[in-house]
Amino acid sequence: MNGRKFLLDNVVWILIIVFSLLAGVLNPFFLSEGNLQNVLVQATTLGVLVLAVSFTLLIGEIDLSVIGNLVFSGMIGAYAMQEYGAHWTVAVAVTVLTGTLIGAVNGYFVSYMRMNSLIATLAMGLFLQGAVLGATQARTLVIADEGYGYIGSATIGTWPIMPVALFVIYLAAHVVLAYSAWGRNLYATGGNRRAAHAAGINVRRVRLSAFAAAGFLAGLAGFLYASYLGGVSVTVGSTTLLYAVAAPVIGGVSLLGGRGRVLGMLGGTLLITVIQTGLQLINVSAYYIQMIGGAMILLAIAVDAFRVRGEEQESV
Amino acid sequence: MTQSDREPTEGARRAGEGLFAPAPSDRSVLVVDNVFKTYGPVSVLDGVSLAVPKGAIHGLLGKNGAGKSTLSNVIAGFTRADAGSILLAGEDVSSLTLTARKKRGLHLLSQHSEIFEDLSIGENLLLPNLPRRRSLIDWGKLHRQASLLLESHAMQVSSRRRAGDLNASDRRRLAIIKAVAGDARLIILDEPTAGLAARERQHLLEWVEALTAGGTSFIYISHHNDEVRQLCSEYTVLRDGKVAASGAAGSLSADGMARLITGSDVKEFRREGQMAPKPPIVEISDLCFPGGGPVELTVGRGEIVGLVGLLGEGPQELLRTLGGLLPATSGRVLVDGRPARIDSPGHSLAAGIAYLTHDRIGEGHVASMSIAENLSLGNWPRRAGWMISRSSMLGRMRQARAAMDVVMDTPDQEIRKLSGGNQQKILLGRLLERNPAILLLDEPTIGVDVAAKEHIHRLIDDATRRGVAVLLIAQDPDEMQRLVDRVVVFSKGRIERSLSAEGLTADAIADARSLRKPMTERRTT
Amino acid sequence: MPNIMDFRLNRRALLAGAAATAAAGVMAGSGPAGAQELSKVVAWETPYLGFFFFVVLQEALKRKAESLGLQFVGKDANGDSNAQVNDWNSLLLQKPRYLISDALDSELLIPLTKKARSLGVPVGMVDTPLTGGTVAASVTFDNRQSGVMAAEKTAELLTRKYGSPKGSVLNNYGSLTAVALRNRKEGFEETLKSKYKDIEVISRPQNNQHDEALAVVSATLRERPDLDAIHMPTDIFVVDARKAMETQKRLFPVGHEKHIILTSIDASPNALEWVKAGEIDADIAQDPIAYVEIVVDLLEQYTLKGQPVPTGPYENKKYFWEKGMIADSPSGPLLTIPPYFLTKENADDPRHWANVVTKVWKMEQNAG
Repeated sequence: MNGRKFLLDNVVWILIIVFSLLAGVLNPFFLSEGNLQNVLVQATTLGVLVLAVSFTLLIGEIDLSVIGNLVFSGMIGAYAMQEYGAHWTVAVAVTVLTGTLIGAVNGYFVSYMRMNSLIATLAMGLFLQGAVLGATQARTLVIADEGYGYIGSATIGTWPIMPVALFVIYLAAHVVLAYSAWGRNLYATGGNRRAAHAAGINVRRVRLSAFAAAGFLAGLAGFLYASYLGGVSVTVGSTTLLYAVAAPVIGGVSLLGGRGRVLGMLGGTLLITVIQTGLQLINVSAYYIQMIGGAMILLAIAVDAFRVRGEEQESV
Repeated sequence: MTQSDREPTEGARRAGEGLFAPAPSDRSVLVVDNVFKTYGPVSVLDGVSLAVPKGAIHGLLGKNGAGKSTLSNVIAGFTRADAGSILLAGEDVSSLTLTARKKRGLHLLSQHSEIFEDLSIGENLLLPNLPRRRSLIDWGKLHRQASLLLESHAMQVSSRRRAGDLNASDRRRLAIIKAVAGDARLIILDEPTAGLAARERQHLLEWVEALTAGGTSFIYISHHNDEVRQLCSEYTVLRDGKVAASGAAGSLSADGMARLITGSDVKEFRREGQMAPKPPIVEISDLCFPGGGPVELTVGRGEIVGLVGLLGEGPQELLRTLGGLLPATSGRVLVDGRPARIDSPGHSLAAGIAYLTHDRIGEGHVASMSIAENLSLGNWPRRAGWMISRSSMLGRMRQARAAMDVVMDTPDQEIRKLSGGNQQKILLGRLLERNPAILLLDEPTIGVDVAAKEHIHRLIDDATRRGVAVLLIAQDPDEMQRLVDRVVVFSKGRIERSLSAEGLTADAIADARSLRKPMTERRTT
Repeated sequence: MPNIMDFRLNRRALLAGAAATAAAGVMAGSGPAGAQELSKVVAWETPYLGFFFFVVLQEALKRKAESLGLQFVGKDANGDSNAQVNDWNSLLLQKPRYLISDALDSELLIPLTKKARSLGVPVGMVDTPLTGGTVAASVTFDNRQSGVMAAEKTAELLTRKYGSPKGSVLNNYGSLTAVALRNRKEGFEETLKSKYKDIEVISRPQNNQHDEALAVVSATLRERPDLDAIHMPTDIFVVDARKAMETQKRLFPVGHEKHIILTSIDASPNALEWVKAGEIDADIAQDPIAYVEIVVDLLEQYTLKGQPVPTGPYENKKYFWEKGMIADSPSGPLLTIPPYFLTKENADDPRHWANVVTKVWKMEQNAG
């Protein structure tokens, strides 16, 4: 029984191994060191977005403005350097701060004005992407600053340092979510809002702060994307939103709130990235890649649904 | 006595012939024969048999977790039994689906009445077979049919009304009428009177009894032993998934029934009356709130004051206002002489006012979190200002577990896996951890088995000995009478009078409550 | 339907382990050991696959690779520049013979050209070149000039109608995140606004969506019963403009007195038919097949032999336009193919890409 539960809880890691081996059979290069670096680098930007979405999923809401937020805050950071000659550290701070503010506005809408988060953040995302399109006239803002681009491009030996950011951020998120009073208040608010309120938790503030945290992470992702790509443009990440929502669910984060572990979020991120890079490396006609990718995500979510069902059975 | 009661029944089961099962006469609408069900290593039903004759009401009793819910699920078809059979009017329905069993007249109505709040009463009654004309719904015919049904079951409401606007008692009636209209042979009622005022309860019971004249049979599940004795012809007591006893209901005393359910002698806790005046700790003056006020009330240190009044007449609203869950519109609350802020639960708790909800699942615990976390929810022991100190949290848990006799595996277990009584102890423990000046208890023993109930009573009494004041709401007049030092009676949102504990009887409390005409009658006329 | 064949191959490759190792073998040839021995794999990254133009680009490269006995590997960024960067990274890691791509974003790929150079993989760009970096060969089309030509043609036809250049024209422009479409819009509108002040330009977006194009043209036709001309930035959305005119009974052949002037760019197979039937006034041609074939030729001829692509005039009678110019650009040698008009008179020339696609490749632009 416990063995089965362990397997089900960690099914995402098993799928990562299965998909990796499958990709490795089709192209042995997939299992090489070079590709491991490739997977981890691609997972970094997605992973931070996955965390951002997860913070709102934990309180039973959703933030669909993360892509708009990352592009917008990335743009503000780029402007800070180009127009005002800001030092790159200042630009990073400005980027992250912009993201946090946008998140706080989302939080105010949802928590205090009781707007539906799905629609409010969707509209916010459209607004932000539109704002970037208008401000940049669809041109790319190139970031040449070496300090700003360091994380996205530097290597130690042959190893890129970007994945270090991924693991540091995930470790911090784990500590905050599993051990801090604020983190547990998020779970309590998501698990049962009325009970959390009755227990004396300031639920409205917790809900606002969850969105602010999501905004902070989206801003951080904005910095990482800009650092990795060497610039910001409105087309960055336009296909990523779906993956940023699917990955937490694959990793066991409940859409209803209150459930989800950081390790699962990481697993979901890596699984999606493995699928994507696998499809980049396997010689499949581009016409079918989207279909196969969709089918694999469907499979992962189906396995997760099976896990959840198993859990419910147990509690009857 | 208990032993000798049980032995023959178990022996009979082992021999493959239950008390009723082997003789499924023509009278038996339902025969449950030697049913087994396990979840993992846990055996939830262990060879259960029972039979229900046509037109009879069969009481099903047992502690939380004794197997009542599983048995009703197995009978209704929500889950399959591992072994054994279910016969409905002679036909083996064990392998049929839920819907197929419904079609044959077998219904389960759970505690949370299954109605569609946003649809009309008529639609609720006739779904899923709404009358149609050329594939469109024939609204005229629908409401004519529905009105006939409502009238023939003595329910005077318009079928066009929104079902969500009905009160709790009428909702349950609606669900039962729906089942009866679908030619129900047997209806399982799971705690139909939970949360109803005494008068409404009585109405509902009489109404159900009247339905048996039409030939419908019932299995009646309840924590209220008196209801079973009043209503049922026969009873079955489940304990740890086995039939602990069964027989004719009329022959049992209240004590005997409680003993059968718990399997041991439970002594009813009775608080020693404390007549002497106590120094005031909470002073409420001119408090107005949605649905009541102004209220003047002073509660002394270690005093338990019972609040009596019908649903919506003030007691619940007063407690929720003091607890910070309803906004006070005016007035003042002093705790220990200091003015208390009560505009949110957080502020009320900080002021020493602790509210225990009657809605454990909806507003009490966070089901997905651990037992230890639920105990410290909103009151985390901190380290470095922002980290939760796990060792302090577990320390609290150990203390609470020992003091309150919580039955559990590990502190990291999710709280939803505990029984209702143990969950309630954790919620009470969470409040006591804050060292409150006053506890506001809204139905502290709702949905809790007999043993846990007595234990919770003792815990409340212990708290008052440390000087904690208590405001108590309890539907059961008996329960209230055993605990309170004084009773205040609410009417139309105000305190109408006060009764001292001296010579106070349960009947007097029940009378005080029903002084006013019950809500249901006023609403429906 | 050549795709079905592809799919069978791939499905077999996916399911059967044996065939999989064969596919893997192709890749193995491009492994780290392949520094001396040239890889047989040609890598391709396209910004979109949802539009026929990009399908033709990809098909052209596939056929070209086949004719040289090479393997083709292709990826689609689906409009996301981050996805394009990721695809480039993954493709470069396999050290293909060379990587050819159409840039979604002319800036963000620049750092990757350096990475490609350090890995020894030459890069060729088609359609949308980069604004920097080291690209061995780029072949592009003067999108701005194509817009200018459409504007001049519109002005000329209006002059013929009214005696002087005046009237109104709708430019139903496409998504501005696509560089080519942005340049066409600028060329078209700036020419009209600066040179022909009496022509009113109604500038409205369709965001590369058929339904938006249909809605915008319909609404403009209702709003402006006197509308003289419509310009679509690409043939893809001419069908929507025609449908809108047809619904409102305002679709008349060229020469009819109520005819609304219609101009577009691309010269796709559809446009070829319209030009022949006199249903469209002017269509300016680019040449996706030439982009790809020429860039491969240049890479094979010069780059792989260690020589730089020479600048200067480029001549090739295989293509209708025959003459172009290779110039130095910030990213390296860049061949710009001049836009030209597709007309009734030259429509049957077999060198038009539309004719190659339909007559030689037997591909159809319209499904069903």
